[in-house]
Amino acid sequence: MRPLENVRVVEYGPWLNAAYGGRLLADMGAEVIKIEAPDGDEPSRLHGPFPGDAPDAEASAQHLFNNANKLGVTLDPSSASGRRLFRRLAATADVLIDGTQPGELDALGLGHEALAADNPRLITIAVSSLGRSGPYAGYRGYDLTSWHGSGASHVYMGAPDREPLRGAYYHANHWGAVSVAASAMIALQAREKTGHGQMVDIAEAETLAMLYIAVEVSDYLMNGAEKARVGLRMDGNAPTALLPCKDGYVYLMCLTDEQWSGLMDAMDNPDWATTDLFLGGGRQRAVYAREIYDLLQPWLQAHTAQEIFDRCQARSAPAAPLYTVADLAANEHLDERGFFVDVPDERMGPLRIPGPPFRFGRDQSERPASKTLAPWAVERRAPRLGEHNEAVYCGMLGLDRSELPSLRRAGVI
Amino acid sequence: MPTAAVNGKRGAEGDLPLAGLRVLNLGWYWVCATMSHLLADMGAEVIKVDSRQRLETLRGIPPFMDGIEDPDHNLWLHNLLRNTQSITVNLETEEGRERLRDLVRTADVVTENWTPGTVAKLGIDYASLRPYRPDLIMVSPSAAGQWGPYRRINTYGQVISTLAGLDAVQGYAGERPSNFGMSIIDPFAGLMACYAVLAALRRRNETGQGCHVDFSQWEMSTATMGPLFLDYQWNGRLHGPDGNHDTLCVPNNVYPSTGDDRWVSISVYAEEEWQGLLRALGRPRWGRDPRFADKYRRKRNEEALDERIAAWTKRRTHYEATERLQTEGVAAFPVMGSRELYSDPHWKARDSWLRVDHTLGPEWIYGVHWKFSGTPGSVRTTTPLLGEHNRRVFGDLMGADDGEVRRLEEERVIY
Repeated sequence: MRPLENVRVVEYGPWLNAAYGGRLLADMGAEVIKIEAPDGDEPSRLHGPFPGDAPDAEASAQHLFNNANKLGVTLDPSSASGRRLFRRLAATADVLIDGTQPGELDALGLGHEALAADNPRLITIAVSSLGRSGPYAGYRGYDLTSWHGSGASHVYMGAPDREPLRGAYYHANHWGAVSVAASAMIALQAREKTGHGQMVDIAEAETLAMLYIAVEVSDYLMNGAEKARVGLRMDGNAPTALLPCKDGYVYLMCLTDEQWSGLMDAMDNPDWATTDLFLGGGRQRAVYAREIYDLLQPWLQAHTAQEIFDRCQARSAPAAPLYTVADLAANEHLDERGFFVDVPDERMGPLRIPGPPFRFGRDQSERPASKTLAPWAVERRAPRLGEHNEAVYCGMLGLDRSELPSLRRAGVI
Repeated sequence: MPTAAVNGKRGAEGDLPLAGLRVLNLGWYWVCATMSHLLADMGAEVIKVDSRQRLETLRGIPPFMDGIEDPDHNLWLHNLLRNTQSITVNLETEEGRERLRDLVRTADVVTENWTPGTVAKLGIDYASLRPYRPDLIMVSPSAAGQWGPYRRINTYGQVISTLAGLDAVQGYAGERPSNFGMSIIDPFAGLMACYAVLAALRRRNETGQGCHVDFSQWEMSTATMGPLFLDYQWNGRLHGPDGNHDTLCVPNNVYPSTGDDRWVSISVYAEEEWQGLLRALGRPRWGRDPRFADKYRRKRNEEALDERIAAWTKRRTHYEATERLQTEGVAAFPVMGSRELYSDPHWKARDSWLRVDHTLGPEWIYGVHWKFSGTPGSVRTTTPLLGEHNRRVFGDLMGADDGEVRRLEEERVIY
């Protein structure tokens, strides 16, 4: 049995935070119904990437990846009949993921309180940049404002004399998405006890600020130290940096003397390493950080990222090559684990996508008897626009098929 | 000022959704502790298993409370081990391992993130523990998973984001790739592991079956970049660093404001937001420049556009710019430094930071990030001293009498 069998999720909101959150639940077996705008005006459909760079709302990678495993309906809640349909859909749902800007659904009379009047067991998970309470509850926000509003950039990312940098590929939205999935599970568990649904408010900037930046806030409040980004190389624990090598980049990191000795051994113990100046932990090496980075450079330039990775790891010194998407698609470890999976798509041909974030099994062996991805599974490709209108509106909500054409003509679906 | 005592709006632990769930955290560093306290904030009972025989490295990493460098003053753990009990068990002794296995009889969840193979050597892997608790859920968020050729790689979170492909697509536009300045994968994986545990628990509640969760921090991170794999498959394209720019939103950047190293982030998706931006900036003449006539042209002339916006933001504080832009319906927010994260009224109103009374003195830690309207989570206890709950766990819970606990302490089994 899959963990979320018999759980129905309705997902509304144009951004990746709602979409990937819904996807995580769908991959564990939930029935996820994604609501889209009837005209297909969705960021994930309009902005690709597209095959051959030819814009096509049914062939956008952001849509195909983040909405796989879902049913898709179209619905415009700006009209009275659209709102009625939205309420009927929410009345059948266990979980509503609301990824719209704060206040947007309330303004339509579709806020959690209103929907819970029809369905007291409804759980609404609202995800946004800054959240739905507090002085900025009415503010708009996107991935960029979540990231920079969290402190993640000012404190940690970018050069000290240049602008703070955003993290990789909508990373803040992904934090929102995982919070959506986990909090939905907690609210479902709470409902087992109380019989009631509730509303969960997730602010991405706050989530990152707490779970990622908090130690710097504690340090500032208790020791008065306001830390700011230092650039690409850390002095503490040197080397701790993504460093150029012969054919790319490699991350080196040494917290302990053992790891430092492992790195020196990987370098065949150069003469300069015989000194004990560099022993005494990461803070001792901070004193000589500049010298350490200079001394490493000739060796790094003479070796490939993979050579450095192999030599360091053989000696338990943390190191990793900078992998691109191409490197990962061909990586022997991911291949052995069957990580990439093909989602059949009758129009596009098989889509090769990354697989599960975790797997459930019956053993913890280094040589497992079976190499399963379970309970994770992608059972259907992402929906075409409005593909499941009939199945959902007629099959689940009980509308007569004869009602659909007029809803379509009115632009409701 | 909220304190631990008053923060829990419901007070009693029994009302919380995860009350009755017991988690044993054998993990080192950040990931298992994040996962465990997220469960604890919502009512789970978490016991952190430490040992003075081998103190976890994180306890020695700054910052420290009042700058005092000892394992009990570590500020990382003062945030991470709220709502947690601490016991010290020397797993290098057979009796220590047997006591731990006994404790597992009472546990729903065990989590560890040691190098694959380590717990098997100690006889506390899933196969060894399952006879003690047949429906046990065990979660092992390792770097690369329990099996596969790279399973034993030695990493930290920063190393994993390099390996997983994230670093390759971040950095200043057209320049070399950049790493995160602090491990972001640890807390991100902790959040994902929390989802994994809850999914496994739901399955256990339905089927009666436990499981081992093979969790690869690398795979979990790579999975967030799905669309880029399709772009590579279809078009052979590899994305690189692009600063703060983006294909969805234009403009999308941080802009300098008055003050030292202060910036405001601005992100515009829809045409009505673009019109709002022009209104906020006082309808400048360049707003009618054909180079900025539509989103496509704005993307092609993004640098020129950024310069014009920066000329406006430079004359204001980041807060003034934010307020002006938000009034016109534009997504904008100050780039927050650690001082502002505390001082900003929004986070105060949301109880993001809590002043709590720790045994060692008053302190600030973070609150509960997800706000549940019906069953809000809470910080009920502050971080324990190392081994503070040895007597409670081995005595009250496991039934050892005072003499036996003393013997275990003397023989450094409890240590």
